[in-house]
Amino acid sequence: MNHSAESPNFRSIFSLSNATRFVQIAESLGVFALLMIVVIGASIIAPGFFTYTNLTNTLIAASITAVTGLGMTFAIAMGGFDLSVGSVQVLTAIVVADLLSAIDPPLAILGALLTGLAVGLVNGVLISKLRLPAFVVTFGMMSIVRGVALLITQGQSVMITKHVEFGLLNNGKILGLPVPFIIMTMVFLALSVLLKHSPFGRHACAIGGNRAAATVSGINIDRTTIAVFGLVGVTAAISGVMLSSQLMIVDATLGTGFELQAITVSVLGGTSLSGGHGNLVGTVFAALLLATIASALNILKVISFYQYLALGVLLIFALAIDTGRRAFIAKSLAARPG
Amino acid sequence: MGIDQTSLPILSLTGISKQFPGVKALDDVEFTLLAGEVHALMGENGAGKSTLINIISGLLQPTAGKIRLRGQDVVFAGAAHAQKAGISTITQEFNLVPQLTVAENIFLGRELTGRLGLLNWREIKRHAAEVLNELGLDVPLGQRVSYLSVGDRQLVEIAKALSLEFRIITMDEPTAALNAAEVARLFDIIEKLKRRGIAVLYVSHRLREIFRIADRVTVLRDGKRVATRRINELSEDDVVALMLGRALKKEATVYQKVPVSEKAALSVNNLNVPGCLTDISFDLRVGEVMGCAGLVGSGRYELTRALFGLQQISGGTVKVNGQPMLPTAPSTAMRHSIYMLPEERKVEGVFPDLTVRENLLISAKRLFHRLSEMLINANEEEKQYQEMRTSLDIRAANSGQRIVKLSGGNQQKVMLGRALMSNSRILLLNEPTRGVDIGTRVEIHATIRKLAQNGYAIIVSSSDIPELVSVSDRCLVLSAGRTKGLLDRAQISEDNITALAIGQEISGDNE
Repeated sequence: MNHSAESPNFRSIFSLSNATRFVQIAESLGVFALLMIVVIGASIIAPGFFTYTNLTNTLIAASITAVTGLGMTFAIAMGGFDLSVGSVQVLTAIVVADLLSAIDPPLAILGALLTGLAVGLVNGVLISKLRLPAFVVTFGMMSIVRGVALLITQGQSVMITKHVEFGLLNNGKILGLPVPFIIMTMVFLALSVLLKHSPFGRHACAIGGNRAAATVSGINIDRTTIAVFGLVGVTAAISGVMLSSQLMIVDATLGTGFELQAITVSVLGGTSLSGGHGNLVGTVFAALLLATIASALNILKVISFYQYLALGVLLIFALAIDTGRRAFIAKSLAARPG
Repeated sequence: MGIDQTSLPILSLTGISKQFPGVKALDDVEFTLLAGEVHALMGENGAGKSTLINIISGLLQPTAGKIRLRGQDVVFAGAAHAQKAGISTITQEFNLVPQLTVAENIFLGRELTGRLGLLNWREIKRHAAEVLNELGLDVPLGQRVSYLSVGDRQLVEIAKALSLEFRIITMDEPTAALNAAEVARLFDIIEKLKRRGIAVLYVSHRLREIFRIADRVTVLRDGKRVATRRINELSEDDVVALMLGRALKKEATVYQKVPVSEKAALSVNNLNVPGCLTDISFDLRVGEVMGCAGLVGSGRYELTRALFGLQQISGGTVKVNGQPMLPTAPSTAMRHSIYMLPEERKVEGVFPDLTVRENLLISAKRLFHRLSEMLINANEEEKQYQEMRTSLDIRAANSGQRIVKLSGGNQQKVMLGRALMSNSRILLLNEPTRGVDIGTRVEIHATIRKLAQNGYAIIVSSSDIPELVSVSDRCLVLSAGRTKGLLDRAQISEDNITALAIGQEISGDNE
């Protein structure tokens, strides 16, 4: 797990005196355990859940959410979040679909990623240079980007007819694994390295943990903020490209509520909204959990409206756990001998 | 005023032990607190002081032992419970709401209301004024707490405890952030509390204070109580010996200073910071430790902040090794080899979520993998960490431990290490030994002197005047934002520094 990267000494990980480290592990295990319970439960009560096709679809859906969730984890670790990812996802899905009618897939994908990057960078610049709260900027951007997506499509659907091989990004298999899952794994690995082994990741956590200390330590807060929101924009764009290749026909109404999913998987995975650290493994597990629940509800023919209820309940549940955990850590810190 | 023989123990702890996984923080400790006494609790970092206080204030439950309050057995379920039982704990982190006024804070949670259930401002103000008068405080009632100095906030907290009729007040390092005048005022108030029969449990690393106000002292070492004595039976050396378990090797309190070079590492000329500093000029020479003294509000902290690019400069010049520079941001200052240790470790120093190693190396020149400029070389970092750990004697279980698990003294060493790892030759050290024990204090002072010998140029800005006397080659004294004096080696003394800091002139015997 990612914790082995943090500390090569397994004994220290499991030493009980290291209560907070223990909590961090327990957090990932907790989501993992919950995931297992839900998977087993779904397999029993929802016939057709534990089939190759359904599992593949669930994995694909989870991967799309996870990619943005992973980027969101950086923003949350830095003490912020990004509400514009749903709009960015749909805009980039439309951009790639539009571009495919004119240019080759690699360039079209690049165009989508650059679009996501641009929106993210604008978010970051507004937040850092104008000292606006991330909530306000990304909330506004959510509406702006959605508006742009509607304007581009004039409210119409965009169908991908040229370069249908683009669909392989969704249907393709590498070593028997769905391509979306491979993409998500690659994003996960890259971001894990970035979070734990690069100055960038460390600075993001430092800013989230103690902004004043970050300033005094000479960390360039503006630059880190801009980079983090740029990163979130790119991950939202990757999710957009994945969505486009999954549906092959997109319109500007897609991706509503996606920001909520991304934040939920991040927090449910153990990344505290108070900032300071990020748990990427947990994010992936939580995305799988979310997709499993959605899939089971679908099979059980529960009206999709209920999925919104489930998502909201999960987010509040995750926040409650987060609060409880913070209280526990505060207590174990007060217990520090001396 | 002492304790008379008839004083009853208001609080007594018997056989208190506290076991944490892997460490016994308290081992069979006896402790009694009498009404109307000031009882000092002494011990090195890690001796168990905080654990004992946390048990008394209900934050922790003992593994074994009994707590009796006014003769009744009690088990505190939590901090709220202890508070209800009349125990107030005043720590560095205040339980005040900064956005509310003094009066509102004093009555927070039990607001006086009128007929319609609305706040009765007149009554609130009258009662608050009463409490403050009793303490002889002149804090404006309508002032928002966020505008108050640390000293005033502390007094508001005491006022709150008084208005709640608390009988026991524990104070954990109450003077750490206070200037001399505020300390004197606090001690006056503690005297008043005593006269009202309130028991004060007082924790401080400052020996001199203990001898000034305590009636009895309990010394802890390695979780065990080594002694409880009346203070007048002991000398300062006795207390230190009890704390350390051996006599402290008498350090030459004032370090042997070596001649410094004439080369100025940092020249400051007519520096102005709006609202804080006016026309400050000095040369900090290579190999020199320059003390910087001044009361809260003297601009002492703002001076180091301005030089580190955290405070806007409106006029004057700053030169580093003869090269002019304008400190606009910490990164600019660091490029010019300047690094600042912040005043408040908790507020501006520690990254609570990061490990000891990450905290130590956050400002370090990046150690990159050969393969990629983006990644950190963990092995190289570990090596650097181990070096610094050895040279500063940082006591941590391992480099991956979260920094908040360390004792305050060790955290402070990590902060000092961070400054050393920043690759800067000009260090602006604010309160380098705040909240650390005597042993660590001596070590940190020795380190500062050694750095100077090795060609660093250092400013030590401190409210701890004996510290300035001990380590400084020269001492700049600020008063109300202006240079009140620049004492040379022969002139540096506690009396001279104090006199200048409070705005008096010193007798010109040297000039």
